[in-house]
Amino acid sequence: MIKNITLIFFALLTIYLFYLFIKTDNGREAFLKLRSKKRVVAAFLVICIYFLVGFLDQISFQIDNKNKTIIDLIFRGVPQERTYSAPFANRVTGIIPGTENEERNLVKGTHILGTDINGYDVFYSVIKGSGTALILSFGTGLISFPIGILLGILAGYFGGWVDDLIQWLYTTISSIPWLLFVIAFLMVFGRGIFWICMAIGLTSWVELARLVRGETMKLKNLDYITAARAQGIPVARILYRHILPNLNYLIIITFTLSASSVILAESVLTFIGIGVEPGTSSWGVMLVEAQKELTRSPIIWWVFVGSSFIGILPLVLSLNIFGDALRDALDPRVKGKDV
Amino acid sequence: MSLLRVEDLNVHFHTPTGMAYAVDGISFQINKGKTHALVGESGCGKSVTSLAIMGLLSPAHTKISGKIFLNDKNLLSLQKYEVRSLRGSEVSMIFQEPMTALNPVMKVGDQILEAIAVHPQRSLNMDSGITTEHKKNRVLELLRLTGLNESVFHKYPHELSGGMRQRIMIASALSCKPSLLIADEPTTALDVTTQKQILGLMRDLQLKTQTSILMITHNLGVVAETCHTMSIMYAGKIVESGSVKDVFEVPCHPYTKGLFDALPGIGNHRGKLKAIQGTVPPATEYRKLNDCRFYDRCEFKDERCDTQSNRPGHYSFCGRSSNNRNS
Amino acid sequence: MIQYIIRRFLYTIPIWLGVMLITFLLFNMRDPIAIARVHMPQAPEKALHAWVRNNNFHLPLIFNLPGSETMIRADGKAHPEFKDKSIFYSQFFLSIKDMVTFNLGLDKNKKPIADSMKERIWPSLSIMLPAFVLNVILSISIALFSAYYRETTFDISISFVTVFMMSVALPVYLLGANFLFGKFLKLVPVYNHTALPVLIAVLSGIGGNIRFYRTVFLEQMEQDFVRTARSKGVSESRILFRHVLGNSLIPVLTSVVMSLPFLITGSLLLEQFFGIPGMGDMMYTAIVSQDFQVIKVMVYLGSFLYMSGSLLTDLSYRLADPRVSLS
Repeated sequence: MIKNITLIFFALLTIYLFYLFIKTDNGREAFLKLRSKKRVVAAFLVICIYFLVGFLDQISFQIDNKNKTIIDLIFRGVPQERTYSAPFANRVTGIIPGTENEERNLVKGTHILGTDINGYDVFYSVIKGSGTALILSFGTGLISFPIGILLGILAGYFGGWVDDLIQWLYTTISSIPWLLFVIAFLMVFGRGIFWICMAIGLTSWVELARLVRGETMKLKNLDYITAARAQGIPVARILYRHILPNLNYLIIITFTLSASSVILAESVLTFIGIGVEPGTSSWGVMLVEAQKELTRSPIIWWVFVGSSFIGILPLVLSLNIFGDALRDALDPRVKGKDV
Repeated sequence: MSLLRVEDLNVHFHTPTGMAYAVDGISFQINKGKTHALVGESGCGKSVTSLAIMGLLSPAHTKISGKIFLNDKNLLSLQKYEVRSLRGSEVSMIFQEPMTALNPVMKVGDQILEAIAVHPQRSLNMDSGITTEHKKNRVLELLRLTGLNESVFHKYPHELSGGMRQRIMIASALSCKPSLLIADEPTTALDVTTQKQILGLMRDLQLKTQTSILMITHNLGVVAETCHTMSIMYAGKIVESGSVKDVFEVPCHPYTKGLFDALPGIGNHRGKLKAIQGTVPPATEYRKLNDCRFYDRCEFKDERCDTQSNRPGHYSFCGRSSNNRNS
Repeated sequence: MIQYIIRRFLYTIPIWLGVMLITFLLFNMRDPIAIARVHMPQAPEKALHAWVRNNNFHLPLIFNLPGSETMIRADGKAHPEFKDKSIFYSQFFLSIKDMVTFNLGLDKNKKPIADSMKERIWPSLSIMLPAFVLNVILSISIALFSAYYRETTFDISISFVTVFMMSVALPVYLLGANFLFGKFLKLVPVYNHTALPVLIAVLSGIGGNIRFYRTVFLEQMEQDFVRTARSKGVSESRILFRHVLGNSLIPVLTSVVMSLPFLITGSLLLEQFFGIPGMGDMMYTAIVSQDFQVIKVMVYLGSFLYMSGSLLTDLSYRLADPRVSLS
């Protein structure tokens, strides 16, 4: 119960932060510019749908001594078949592996994307994967954003040895090939969603820190900051009230773009074998399964299509489109056309 | 005889905030061997006009109409390749910021060479047998002509001063003997002393080569020093034009008067500088104004507004100046 | 100039130290017994202790301080011989020494990793090198055209296609391409097992590259000197290649050189999938068999290559860019 409440609180907080962003000058301008482009609006809606669905999968209740999420409840009516079945199939054809002499059982329901080897509905698995994607995106963000923002601001505002130190830190981290580092990290600490978030989070703050540092350095020289300092306003307050709000847009852009790379990375890591734990459902896991299935005859293609083209592709594509559009809209150099 | 004749030129841009009527029906002409000034504040459309003449406006989101006659050829009706062949040979241009206008990683000599290579016969006055040697010599000749040392050839733009860079621009612009040189605020980025040198150079070159010049500027001092005729632009339209002598002696349009009044004079009485009240509206709002676009800011509004007056050689879009020269 | 090279080189040293530090932290900070358990899941405690001792995990972590000879180390024993060793007799300094001298150590099967690498580097390169060359050529050309014809149907569709390609996960490319070409179309001849991996490597990489280069080229195209060149009548193709591409060389070169180290680390997935006995496959085997030494070597080497690449690019374009003075 407590978990559910914290989750809902967290979701509302995210929405509130987004709303705050829209209220800033930058945000409002970007919002207007983006609202007119159909492609961007579509991408944003897709992201919202996927995240909403993933979110619904996190809220769970105890029913019959088992933890069931909202998604589970929605899918309650969907039966589990014996084994594979093609999308929209409603009768069995062919021999069920291992049951040569058994009766052919009718497929009990119509599954939009068919079923996997255990008979579970593939569409259901795809939606579950969406939940994993959501956790990964926000999890890595939760770790990398505070670090990136804090270090970026410190480096940009104070300069001097603080700046040198932080620059040394992030140059060093970015010198290590990212995938190798994440793999090594996971090998040492273990696999699973938590450690993936840690591994990716602890390496991806660098990008945000760089941007924040640059922006802080620009802001630091603005007159009203100098005036505030001259008035003796404590540094922390200056950072919090004047510099931080201007960094909003960096956070949102970085979030969308890093979320897309986290989701792609998860599929690669799981494919190698050091990704999520075997029990969790994720799109990466589905791809691993799909590898074997594509070589069977008859070809089992629906797990592959489901995970990659219904799961990963739309979400990552939308994140990329939205993130790019946002970045273009907020790029200070592209402010209006000079005649 | 007129070299360049602009007739009812319109340049409109599609912008996210609406249609910007940057140049909204202007006409003027430039005679052979003369300098014509296009004067106005930033954003009034003068640069756009020059780019339109050169064909350098990107076609996306742009609507151009009207006629631009260069020696009786309408530039706006030509094909792209024809326009390109005119650049450098018939019309060339120098820009405001010589630092960014030159390629930073290319030697300046090579950049002038590049201009020559586009029209080598015209530049060298030779039909055939043109060698690299010839072209190089021509570059050196041009450097001398613009008052630069020959050693400048191998230098990069950042190694030269602002004045020197502008001389390079002039050298490469004149390298193929164009009939018309467009100078877009050539001295705005330079200090006053250098400004004087460059303007002097341009005057001398004009006398030598009989090139016509379209001088775009907001500085009336520059106009006084170098130009024969002038047009004043405001909000996309020309509000006054005539010979420099006439306009300076008797500015007719209130905007022109305002511009002159705003100049500080030597030995003047003390007091506040007289500024024109109000600000220029954005280009997307031009058409919402009256026919006289200066109406909202004008001190002298009366019932004769929105009409033109045309005295021989001195045009002004202000009805008030029709009869009385002193009104 | 020598001074600059030395200075730049010196700057790499703290980074190098940092890389060694992070590598050390990653691989040596965890409880040795836990790491031993990962290697030998069911082993009794004595075997675990022996493993710890064999891999030097029983040494002091950073400094061999007085008193360490009496402490119970990770292998369950105290080591009185520590008293006679220097203060630098610790995991950290031994690790540093190995890294600095490039003593790569042995893999799980007691084979020197250096030997394995020598055997495996060519198979990796035979895939990655053609893929790299193709990638660079294709990305730059497509990006150049896309930038030049910006906002046309070509550009817009390229933009969409590249985002699309960037959004497809690598395993999907693998499975999809393998399925399509291998099974479905039966296009790839069985003996040639480099064509398909190269194709997949190129396809998965060009999306992002095209977008990056396109941005770089667009930025250059909007510079003033491009407009100047155009005003001289220079042909569009010369502008594109001499001015735009020429000035884009720096970011393009940087990006190209920076991706070179990854040629050598090979692509894990590709090699494992196609059974190519290259460096990537070595990494994959190491992951599966939990061979920490190999992973550690790969991490360190990868970083070292990246740092060297960064140093090289920095030096080469500082030397090549005339704008930078090197005193």
